[in-house]
Amino acid sequence: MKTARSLLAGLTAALVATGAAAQDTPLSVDVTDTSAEDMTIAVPVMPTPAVANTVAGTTEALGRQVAEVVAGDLSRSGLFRPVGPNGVRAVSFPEVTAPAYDAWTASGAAALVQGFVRANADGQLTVGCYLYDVALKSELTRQGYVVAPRDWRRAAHKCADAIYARLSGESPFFDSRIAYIAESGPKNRRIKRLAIMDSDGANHRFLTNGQSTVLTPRFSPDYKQIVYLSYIENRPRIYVYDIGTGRQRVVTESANQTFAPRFSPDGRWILYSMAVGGNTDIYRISANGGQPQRLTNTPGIDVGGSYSPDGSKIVFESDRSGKQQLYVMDSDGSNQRRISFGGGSYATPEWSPRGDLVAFTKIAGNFRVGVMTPDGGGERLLTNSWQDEAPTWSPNGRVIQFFRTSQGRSGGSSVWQVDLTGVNERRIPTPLEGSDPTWGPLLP
Amino acid sequence: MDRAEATGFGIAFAGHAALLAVLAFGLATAKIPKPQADPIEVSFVDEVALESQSPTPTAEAPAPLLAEEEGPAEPSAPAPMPEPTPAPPVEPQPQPRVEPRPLPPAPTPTPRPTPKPTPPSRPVPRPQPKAQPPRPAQPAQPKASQPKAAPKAAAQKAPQRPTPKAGSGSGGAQQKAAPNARPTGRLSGLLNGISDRPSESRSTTPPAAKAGPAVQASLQRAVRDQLRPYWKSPTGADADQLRTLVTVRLSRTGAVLDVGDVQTTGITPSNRAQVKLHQEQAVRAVRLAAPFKLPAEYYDAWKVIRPAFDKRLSQ
Repeated sequence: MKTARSLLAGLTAALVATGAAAQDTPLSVDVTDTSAEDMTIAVPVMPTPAVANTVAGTTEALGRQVAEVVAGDLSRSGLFRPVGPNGVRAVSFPEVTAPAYDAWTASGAAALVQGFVRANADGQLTVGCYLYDVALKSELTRQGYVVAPRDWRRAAHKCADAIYARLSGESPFFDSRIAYIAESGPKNRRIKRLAIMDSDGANHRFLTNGQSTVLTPRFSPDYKQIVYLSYIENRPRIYVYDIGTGRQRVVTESANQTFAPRFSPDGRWILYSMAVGGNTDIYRISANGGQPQRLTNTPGIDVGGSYSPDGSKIVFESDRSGKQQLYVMDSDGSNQRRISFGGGSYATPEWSPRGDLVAFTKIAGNFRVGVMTPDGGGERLLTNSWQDEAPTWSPNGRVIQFFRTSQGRSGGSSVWQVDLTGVNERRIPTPLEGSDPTWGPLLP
Repeated sequence: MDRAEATGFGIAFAGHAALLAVLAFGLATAKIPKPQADPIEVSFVDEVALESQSPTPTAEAPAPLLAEEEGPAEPSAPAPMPEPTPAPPVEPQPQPRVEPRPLPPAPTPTPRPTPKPTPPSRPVPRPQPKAQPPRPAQPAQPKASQPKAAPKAAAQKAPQRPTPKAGSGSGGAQQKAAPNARPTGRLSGLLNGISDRPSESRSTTPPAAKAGPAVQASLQRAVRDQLRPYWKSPTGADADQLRTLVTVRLSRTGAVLDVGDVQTTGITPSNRAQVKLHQEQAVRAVRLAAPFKLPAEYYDAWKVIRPAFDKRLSQ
């Protein structure tokens, strides 16, 4: 009886529900964005409330330069089409917080970046940065930065980062640095120097003088050190360069060849490879030196270890199957398994700071840069040139830098970047030829 | 004999084989015209309305059956008919729609005025219960002996008539039949009370309250066309795998009453960061597209819309 009643109640409820649902059956529509057009963003010159002189120039000039850097960053991301600061209407200081939407709607811009540059009494600069949705006529985000005048570029990068993050949903990456190997001289007497620069190529600086050949640099997570491989007297050894003091030290003293050093995400370990009697294995050593610990022990060459962002796993390449392939193991060396199975061979794996992908060089005829998931799925090649290799991730894991060697005897090398869609490829300007780029984390 | 038979059989076989070979060869070498692939826009309708899109038949009483005697039957015709049982003149009301019809000018030879002329509906060349002697051509003559048959047939027809839709179907039939029309005393009552003009329905049901597949498809197209200019998907790794469904309740004027459920599918570790933005952009498109311009008579079909936003990279 009870069952019958509850059944009846249930049935009634179901009927009522059906009735209600039938009443409001939604009209389903598919709306697909097929445009390949990038979002247009207007970036007018940033006005100043009062023109003042600083060590980096007048605030008025800085307002234009900041806007230029912001527009350059946004353009380099490949996602947006910034317009300005040249050729767009000038804005007055009061207009910064009260944009003339109608004027911008007419210009066709979907978003608008406004800001100001003001000199403070204490000699610092305040850079304001505002992002507006022109169609919705609403503010999307605002940021303010107080920086020393000579760091005005960082304020501009931070402004671009805020806009990029707001409009793309991704983490920022413009306010970061790149280390790479600057190359010059003839092929047989190549001079290779360690150099660093901002993510847009500005503030370029050489760290070594080129007396010894330098290879495969990697930033420490706090930007204070760079670990790299240096040949002195034809013997490769791993050094750590202290950016603050300019001093370098050998991490591990060994008669054996060591190479491919990498910091762990917490900066406490350095991963490297060492060849002992024809067998190359991966080791790790405390960043302060000490006793190395062997992680792989199979015959063959195991190199190029790269930590996952949580430090729990390591991706590396090994030729134990006959060809170079990618493998993943736990950080203590256990649980080794192969993840790459495509044709050709795979080298120089680098785990994304986001953790979702592993970048690699695929060698099958030519050298190409690609990505796959850490379990080996979704392999995708991003570049197609004669020789692209040694990928390194942007801090947000959305852009990859690598170096490209052009074909031919005179084939020079240059630093390039490509985003994960593989569409936006561009060269990073360097004063000399460049190779082996490494992208550091977001500046603290 | 056997031999001849065998020979004949052999010849027949060989002949067939040859024919088959020739045909096969012809087929193989024949130039089959390549189908011209003119791209046409196809919109898939995955939601088929179960209800017919045709309007609800009026609840009005159907036209009265053919009366045994035409005269008295008329008054019982449904009241709402505006035709005021006018004088015999053929054109009772200047209805433009009726006029172009080539009507037999004086179709009623009967002295009695047929109260509801509507001559075009007259025709139906039915077996007439009361045979008209002067027409030998009438094939239905033999049936004349069963006077019952006709009324029944007419009765079955009748209810379909009064649909408010002055549809093409019934009108066409009438037109076709018209030339055969000839004045008959009896049949003139057949369609009494029925005009081929859309009758003013007493029913309060709005026409086609339920949108049929065709209406659904064009509503979908209308909504899509209004949303598309405002939909800008985030770009980035795997962004094309995201699909955001937004449930939106609309007012009769097409304004957004509320944005309900927002759901996104196709999330991967690579595009997870863009999910929030994807949803925000989807809701933004809805807000910018409002108020939606949609036909008010189908409000029930679009008072809740659920657009799905995604991105496809153009090849």
